[in-house]
Amino acid sequence: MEDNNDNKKYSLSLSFNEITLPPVEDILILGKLSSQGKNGLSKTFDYLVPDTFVVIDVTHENVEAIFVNKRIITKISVEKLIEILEKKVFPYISAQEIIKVDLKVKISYDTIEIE
Amino acid sequence: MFVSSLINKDFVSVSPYASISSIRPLLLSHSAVVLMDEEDYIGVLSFRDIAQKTKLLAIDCMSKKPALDYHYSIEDACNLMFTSRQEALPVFLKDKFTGILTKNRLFSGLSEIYKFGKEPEIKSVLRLLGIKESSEKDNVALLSKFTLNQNKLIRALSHDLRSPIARVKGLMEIIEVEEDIVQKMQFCSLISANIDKLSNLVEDLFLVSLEGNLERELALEDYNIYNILLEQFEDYKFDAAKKSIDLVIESKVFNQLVRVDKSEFIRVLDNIIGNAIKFTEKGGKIIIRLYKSDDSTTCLSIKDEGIGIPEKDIANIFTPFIGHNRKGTENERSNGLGLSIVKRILDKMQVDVAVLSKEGKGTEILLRFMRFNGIEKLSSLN
Repeated sequence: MEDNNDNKKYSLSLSFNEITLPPVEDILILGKLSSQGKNGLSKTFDYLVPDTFVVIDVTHENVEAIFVNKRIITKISVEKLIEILEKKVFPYISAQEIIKVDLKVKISYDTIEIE
Repeated sequence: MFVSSLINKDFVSVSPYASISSIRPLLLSHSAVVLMDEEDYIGVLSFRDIAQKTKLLAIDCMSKKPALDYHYSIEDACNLMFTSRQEALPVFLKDKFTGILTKNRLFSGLSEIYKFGKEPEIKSVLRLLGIKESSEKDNVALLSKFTLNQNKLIRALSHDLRSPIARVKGLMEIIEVEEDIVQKMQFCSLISANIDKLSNLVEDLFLVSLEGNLERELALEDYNIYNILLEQFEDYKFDAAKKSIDLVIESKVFNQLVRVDKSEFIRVLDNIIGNAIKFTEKGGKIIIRLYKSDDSTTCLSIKDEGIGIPEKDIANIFTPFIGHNRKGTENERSNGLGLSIVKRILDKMQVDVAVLSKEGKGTEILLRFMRFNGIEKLSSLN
């Protein structure tokens, strides 16, 4: 190997950008057969962003649990949220996966009447 | 008799956030480990748990287990242990965790009880295990034999896991520095073959430790023995090369069929050739000979120029732990189980085995694929 060092050229591609931890802000869906488990991830979230996420167990063939940012469930009920996820996201999840879901809740009222 | 007298309070405890890879070796020597978060009891983790879940952390693999009360009777403990199909259960005294009760400890406790005439408890355990009851005198013997055999097999299988693990580790190290892609591919296929071996052994280990099956049924089929040797030869060459040992096959038969269970026969070869390499000095020679004897019996001889076996040990060479303190020529470890495993497997396959050895000269292991009477027919090693 030493003999070839003088003749070698290296071509590098380099870039960098900022990330935030954990790499999920809204919802994370944990597959039943993923290497990471609910308890370990929960502890990680607690260390990284204490008191920010809530773990919700779900009954689904491929999904073990979901981690939801607490600010979301102050705007929408857990039942409603799960209903939406079951319909729109769960059908596309395999048991080995961990899925990041971006969910923005916008609340608007048609009319507000004040007496 | 109560559970309290059988509790293991000297259990192995680990952090619930410990990785499974760090716990797996512990579970080869202990029925279960206890997950403790500092002083707090979290749960009990056994091989069954890590077989069922493929998570990275202990806490994510752990399953909930029924708890035993400190004052439970042995019979109740047996019921709970076998209906829940667990290897170990936690024991509590007034909601405080006090230790674990393992299946093995339960068995040895039952053997003790029998001496005091508590026959009904033994019977209930035999029923739960699906072992046919016999006379009162024989029941405890059946139970002891069951436990003893189970322990023996787990120990033997654990022993055989070592070689393929060491091989995979060595091959990985070579792949890291190897630049030739063709060589890399060859090493990858060797790794893959060794992982298959590991899978077979782990499957056997689970059968023994989880289901209580003492022996799996042999899958006897006719195989070309020369082909089996060739398939495994790269592995052995790799092990021998580490000590610059010249390993050669000298075959006079190429199409001879023998009736064996292939994976078990490979375990036999792994042990015999592994021993030959272990006890041969650097630069030595090992010859694997395949031939037909005068009476047309297929014979396989593995002859080394190693340190040989002390004369006093030869008569009991197939007894477990004979020579367990002997180290290889490069200080390789030895637990004295290899040849006892070989003998047990070969007996099951109706293959005769003989050992000829002279201290300082070498050892020859001879397999004959037909029954013969004694080892006196073999030529002596000079």
